[in-house]
Amino acid sequence: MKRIITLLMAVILVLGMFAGGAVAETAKSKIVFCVNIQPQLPVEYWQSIADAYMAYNPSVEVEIIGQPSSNVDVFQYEKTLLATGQFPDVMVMQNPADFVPSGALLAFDEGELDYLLDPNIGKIDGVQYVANYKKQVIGVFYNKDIFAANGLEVPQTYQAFLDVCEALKAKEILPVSIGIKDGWPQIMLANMLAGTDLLANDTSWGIQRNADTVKFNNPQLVKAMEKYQYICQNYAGDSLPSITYTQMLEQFFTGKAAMLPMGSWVNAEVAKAEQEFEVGWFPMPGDDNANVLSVFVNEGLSISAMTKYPDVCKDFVKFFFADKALYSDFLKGEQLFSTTKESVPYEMIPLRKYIEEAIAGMQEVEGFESMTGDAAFLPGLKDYYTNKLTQNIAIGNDVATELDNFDKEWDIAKEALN
Amino acid sequence: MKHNKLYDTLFLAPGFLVYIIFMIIPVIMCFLYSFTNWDGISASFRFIGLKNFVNLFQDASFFQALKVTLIIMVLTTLIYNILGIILAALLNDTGKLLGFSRSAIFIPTVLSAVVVAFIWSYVMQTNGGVINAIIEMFGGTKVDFYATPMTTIFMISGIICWNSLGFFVVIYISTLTTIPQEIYEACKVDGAGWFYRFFHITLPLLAPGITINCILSVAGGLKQYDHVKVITGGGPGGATQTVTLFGVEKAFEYNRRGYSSAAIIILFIIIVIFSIVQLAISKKHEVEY
Amino acid sequence: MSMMKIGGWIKRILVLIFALVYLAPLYIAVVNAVKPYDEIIKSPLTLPKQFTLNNFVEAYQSSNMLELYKNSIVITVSSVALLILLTSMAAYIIARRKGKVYQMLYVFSLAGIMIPPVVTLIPSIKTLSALHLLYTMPGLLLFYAGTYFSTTIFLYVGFIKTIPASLDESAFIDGANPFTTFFRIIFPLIKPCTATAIIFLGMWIWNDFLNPMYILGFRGGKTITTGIYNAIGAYTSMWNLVFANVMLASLPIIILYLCMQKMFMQGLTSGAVKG
Repeated sequence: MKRIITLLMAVILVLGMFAGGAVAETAKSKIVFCVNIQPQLPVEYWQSIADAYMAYNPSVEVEIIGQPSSNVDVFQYEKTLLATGQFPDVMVMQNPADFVPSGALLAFDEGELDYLLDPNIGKIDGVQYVANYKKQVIGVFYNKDIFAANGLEVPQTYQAFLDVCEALKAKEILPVSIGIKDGWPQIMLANMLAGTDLLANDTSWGIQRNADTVKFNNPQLVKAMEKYQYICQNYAGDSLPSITYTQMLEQFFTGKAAMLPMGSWVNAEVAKAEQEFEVGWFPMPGDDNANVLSVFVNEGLSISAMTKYPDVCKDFVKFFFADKALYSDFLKGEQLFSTTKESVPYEMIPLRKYIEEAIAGMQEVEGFESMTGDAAFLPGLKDYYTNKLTQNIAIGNDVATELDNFDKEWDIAKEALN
Repeated sequence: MKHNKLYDTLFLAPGFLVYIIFMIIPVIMCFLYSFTNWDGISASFRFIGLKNFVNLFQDASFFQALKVTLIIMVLTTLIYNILGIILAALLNDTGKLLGFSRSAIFIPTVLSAVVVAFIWSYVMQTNGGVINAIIEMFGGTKVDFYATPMTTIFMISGIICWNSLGFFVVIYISTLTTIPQEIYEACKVDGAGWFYRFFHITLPLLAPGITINCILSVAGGLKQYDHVKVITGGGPGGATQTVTLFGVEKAFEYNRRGYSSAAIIILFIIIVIFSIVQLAISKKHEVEY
Repeated sequence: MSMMKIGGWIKRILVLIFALVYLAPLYIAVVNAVKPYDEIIKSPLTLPKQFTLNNFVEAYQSSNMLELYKNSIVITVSSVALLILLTSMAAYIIARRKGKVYQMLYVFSLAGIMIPPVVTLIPSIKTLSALHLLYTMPGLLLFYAGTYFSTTIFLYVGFIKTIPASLDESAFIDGANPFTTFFRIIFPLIKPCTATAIIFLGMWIWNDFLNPMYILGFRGGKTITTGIYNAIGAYTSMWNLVFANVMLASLPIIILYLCMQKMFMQGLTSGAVKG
C-alpha cells in the first residue's frame, strides 16, 4: 500500500512538473485566437483560418481556443480569461464597452479598417476597437404552404399581422413560435418591435439613453413592448417558459407553427431542406408599413492591449477578411451578410437571395439590446434585457413597471461604473 | 505517551496546504473583494466600505434570489428529512426486497445534476412530457409546471430531492443500525406498537443523524447552483434565480465582482448561522444511550 | 406473530412500489435511449418496439467518447486517490491527538462544507495559472483536493475514532514509525470508510461539470460530464440522443456504486456519521 501511495505521489509530482515545463520557448511569435464555436462554425473551421495564416506567415504560430462548452457564452468566458490573466491576443468580440474601461482592448488606427463597408460602426468615443465581421438581419420566417392554404398574405402593417395570427389561431395552427426557456430567442420579436416603434423614429435614441436624457419607460417603447406582450400572450402557445430554441425551430420546421421571428441564421436550417414546405420571409411590419429592418452588427474581431505582438495581430485580422475563400466559408455557414467593401460571393440558398433583394432600401436599425459603440447598453443590461425584461413581459407582467425596473437597473449599473 | 511533532506536521501539512490554497484563501479574497468596487477584470479597484452591502439590501432582485434560495432550502430540507426518516425506518430491515429498494432509492444519488436535469426536463415538458402524457391518458387536463415562478421552484425542489434523497436515507439507515436492538425487543415485550416505537425510540435516538442531515441539507439547499442552472438558468425573468446564480451573474455579466462577492458573503454568513443554531438545538436534544 | 409477518410483507411491498415509482424517470431514460426518435414521440412510456443501438453509436461518434471516458477515469481515479491519501493522514492525527489545537483544527477543516463552490473557482484559476497548472489535469486534481478536503475529513475522523487507540499505540511502543503504523495498521482497518469516501468522491468528481469546464478550459480536454453537457446543448429536443448520452455518462458511476455497495454501507454504518 505504501509503495502504491509513494508511486502515486511521484506520478502526480511528475505530471505537475511536465505541465509547468511544457511552455517551451520557440523562435516563433505565438498568438492565441479565441473563437466562438458554433454548430455552423465548428472548431475545424477556425483551425483552417489559423492554418492558412500560418502558411501565409510561417514565423507565427496561431493557437485556437474557444468556449469550454457549448453552454458557455464565449463573450462572458473572455471576461473570465481576462480576470485570470489568460486574455487571448485576438478574439471574437461582442461587447467591447465591457472591456474598454479596463484598458484591455487595442484600438485600431484611423483608416486601418477602410476595407470594411462601414469602418465607423460601433466606435466608442470616436475610437474603433472591433473589426465588424458580419451582419445579420432579423425577420419573420413563415410557412408559405400554410399561408397559401389559408389564403393569407404577407402582412404589410401591424394590424394585418394580427389578423394573420387571428386567422391561424381560428384554424388551430400555432401562429408564432416563441420560447423563453433559453433566455434569448424571444428578443428577436421584441427587437423588431422596438425597431419599428422606437429606434426608427429616433435614430440616436441609444446615445441619448447613455446620456440619460431619455428613459426606457417612454410611450414608444411601452407601445412596442405591449405589442410584444400581446403576441406572446395570445399567439405563441401556452407554455413559453418550457420552450427552448431547438423546440422553437422544431415547432416551425415540422409545420406546427406558422411563423418564426428569428435572425437570418435560420437560413442555415432552411438550407438543410428537411422541411416539407416552402419557407418565406418578411420584416416585422410597423403601424403603417413594413419598411424598418433590425440588424445585428455587434460582433467582430478585437485585439488585446496586452499582446506581445500587436502588429502580427493586426495583420491576422486583416488576413481574416482578405482571404476570400475563408471569409466566404465563414459567411456561408450561417448565410450571413458580408461587411467588406468588396462583395464576397458564396453559394446562397434562394431564400437568402430573396432576403437580400427584399431588404434593399429599407431603413436599418440596430438590434435593440445589441446597439454598438456609444449607443451600447451598460455592462450587464444586455443580459437584463434578455434574461429578465423580455421574459417578464412575455409571461404577462405589467410593461410600464418592468420598464421602470429596467431604468432602475440602468442607474445602478451606471453608479457601479464610477 | 509522547508524539513526534515532526511526524504530526508531515501528516497534516499536505492536506491542509491544498485546503488553504484552494478553499480558505479564495474565501478570504472574496471577503476582501466584498468591500471594493472591483469589476473583476481591471487591474485596479478601490475600497468602498460597506457600500456593496448597503446596495444589496436595497436590491429587490437580491431579495428575490434570497427568497428563492430559502424556499428551495426549506422544501428540500423538509422532504429529505421527513421522507428520509420514514423510508429509513421502513428500509432498516433484512430481506432481498428491501435490499433492492435500498439500492433503487440510492441510485439517483450517483447521477450528475446535468443528467438529472435533462431527464426531468423531458419528463416535465408541458407538451409531449411524460407526466402530461400520463395525465392526458387518464383524461385529465395537462399541467404546466412552468406556469408560475412558484410552481417552477416547487418543480426544481422536487427534482433536487429526487436526485439526493438516497444520500439522506442511507445516513438515516446507518444511524438506525447503531440503535441497539435490545431496546426494541424490550419495547415489543411491553406490547408497544410500531408507531409508539417510532416516535418514542427511533426518533429520539436518530438525533445525531438528524443533526448531520439537517446541516448538510440546509447547507446544500443554500448553496444550490447546478440544478437551477441547468433546468431554468434562473428564468423566467430571474424568478427562479438563487443567490449563487445571482452572484455569478453579477460577477460575469454585470462586471461587478465586488458586489457579487458581498452577496456570496451574506449567503456564507447565513449558512454559518443556520449551522450554529442547528448544532445548538441538537446538543439539547441528543439522547445518550 | 403471523400478524407481524403480514405487516412486514405489506411494508415490503409498499416500499417496493415506492422504489419502482422512484426509478420510473430512469426507466424512461433507459427505454427511450434504445428507441428511434419517432417512437419516443408516439409512445414514450412503453418498451421499445424497434430496439436500436443507433443512438449510442451516434452519441459515441459525435463526441469522441473514448477520449472523454479516458479523461474522466484518469481525473476521478487520481483525484480520489490523492484525496484519500491526504485526508486520511490528516484525519488520523486529528482523531488521535487530544487538546484544543486539534479540536480547532478539526472545526477549521470542516468550514469548507459551508462555502458555496462558486467562491473558490476564479481565485483558484488564478492560483493555478501562477503555478503553471491551469488547463492541466494535475491542476484540477489539486483543486479537487482542496474542494473536497472538508467532507472527506469529516468522514474519516468519525470513523478513526471508533478504532481502539491501543492498536496503534502498541505498534508505536514496538518502535514502528508513525508512517508504518498508519499504513500497516490503521489504513487497512478504515477500509469501509475508504469505500464510502470512494463512492462519494467518485460520484461528485465524475459528475462535476462547472469546475472541469473552467479549469481544463478549451485545451485541457473534456470529461464525460462536460462532454455530454456540451453535446446535449446542441440537440435538446433529439431526446433519443439525449438519453443515449445520459446513459453513457451515468453507467460507469452506477456500476461503481453497485460494486462497492456493501462496503459503502458498512463504512457509513460503523461510525462515520457519529461525528
